[in-house]
Amino acid sequence: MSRIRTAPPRYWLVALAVIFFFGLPTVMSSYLASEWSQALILAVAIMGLNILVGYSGQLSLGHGAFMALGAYTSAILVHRYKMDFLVTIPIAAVFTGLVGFLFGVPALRLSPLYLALATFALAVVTPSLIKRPDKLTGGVQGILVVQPDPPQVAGNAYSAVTGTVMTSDQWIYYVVLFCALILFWLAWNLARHRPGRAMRAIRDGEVAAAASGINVAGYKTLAFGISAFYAGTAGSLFALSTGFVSPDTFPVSLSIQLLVGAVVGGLASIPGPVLGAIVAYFLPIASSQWVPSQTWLPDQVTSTVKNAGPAVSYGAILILIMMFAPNGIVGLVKAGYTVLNRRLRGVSDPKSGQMPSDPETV
Amino acid sequence: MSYRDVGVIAVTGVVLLCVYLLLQHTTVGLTLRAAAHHPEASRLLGVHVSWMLALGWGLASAVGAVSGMMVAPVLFLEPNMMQTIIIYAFAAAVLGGIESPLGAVVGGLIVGVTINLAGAYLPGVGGDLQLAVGLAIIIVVLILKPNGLFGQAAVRRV
Repeated sequence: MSRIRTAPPRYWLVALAVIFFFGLPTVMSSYLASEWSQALILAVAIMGLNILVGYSGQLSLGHGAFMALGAYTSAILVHRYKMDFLVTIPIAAVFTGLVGFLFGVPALRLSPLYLALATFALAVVTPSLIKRPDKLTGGVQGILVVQPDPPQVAGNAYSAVTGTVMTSDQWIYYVVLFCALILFWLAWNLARHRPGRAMRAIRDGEVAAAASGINVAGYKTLAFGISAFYAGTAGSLFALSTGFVSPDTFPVSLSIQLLVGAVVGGLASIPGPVLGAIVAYFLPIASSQWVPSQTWLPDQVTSTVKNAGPAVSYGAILILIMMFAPNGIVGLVKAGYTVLNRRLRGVSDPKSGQMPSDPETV
Repeated sequence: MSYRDVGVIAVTGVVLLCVYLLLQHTTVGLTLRAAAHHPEASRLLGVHVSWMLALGWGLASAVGAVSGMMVAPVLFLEPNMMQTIIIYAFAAAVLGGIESPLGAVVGGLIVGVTINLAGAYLPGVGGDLQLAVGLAIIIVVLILKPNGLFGQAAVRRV
């Protein structure tokens, strides 16, 4: 079966992005590098959510719970069983993926609205579920995870390039980047091959997909499993990056943040989660610094933003994006590119077939 | 039973009766149901579908506000107060059978009693894991009896 013809991937854009992310920690402080690794971790989790929501069309408001599971799996393995952190990342990912697969089975019985509610329930329950077995999870206090020092090879290579000593934050950034690159490459492969096509077919018409011989229940639970696998990896990296896990690290708002990132970036696209994660991570920080410093805004507005924190800016931006760019940043860029292409090259509008006016005769 | 409980039951009854009368015995109720059931057809018959959707939101908020007012004195009033309520409500709806009004009432009673008994008497549960019992009810019911106690299997015409 031949591949579906789509726009050719713009390899130079991918290469540019990879070089950008590789070079980032060499030009900024160690603290900023850890901020960017948080954003990349969010991008991985959002990619997982994107596979579930964007490609297979099942809404989840509870992906923070899967992140928590991954983070605690890693933290417990490191803390109690003294394993190397890097070894625990795949273990946490696979374990979370299995749990997600199992959660996908009852989720099959739910229509979209009720699935959102059930996963929301999972997110709400998670903090109190974690607190209970306090021998294992450290209860309310959480678990401290010792951040590893960069290994000799990486440290030497880094010093040779930049002339400075590699901090552990920068080393963790590169670990996160490495995992993110692999997972995004896998997601890209998934999206353009058989499983991705099957998931999209199910999303667009379940009955038609079943009639075409697609195993609807199988692919839906598989999407849940893969998505949880991504969230588990992200959670494990999150524990590594913050060096600390506690029940309150994974509140309901984390799950909402993931969904906001997925929608803002653009559903069912590969670059979408990266853009969405950058917006979802840095925008609340930036807006809670920027808005209170504006003197022209009424006092009520600035004090509300200051007190309510990031939630206000999230809400406002989500509403604006839903109104003006329902396909997210990626959709906006694509639409802009199409319009520009039409104007410059005189290509007809694919929908109406209308030719633009010739710029040379007007 | 205190005066407040009597008041809550009375208000619930009046609200339910009002919503029932509005939906089943007025023109507005008929157009509301038509707009929800088949938007295109009702638009052809002259129903303002977007207005009806807006009215539906308004109605839902009004009824929700009444329930909030009644539950606030029972629980501690704080911004996330309804988060737990909605999960219990969802567990009740799933248990009774989604889209079955009788199921909602019966499911609500069973879930409410179960959760409070489990919190008080099961050694591992306690107050903070009552929510988890709600989630467990949702998952178990969905696996064993996906249509709930009173629900009917959804039949879809393709």
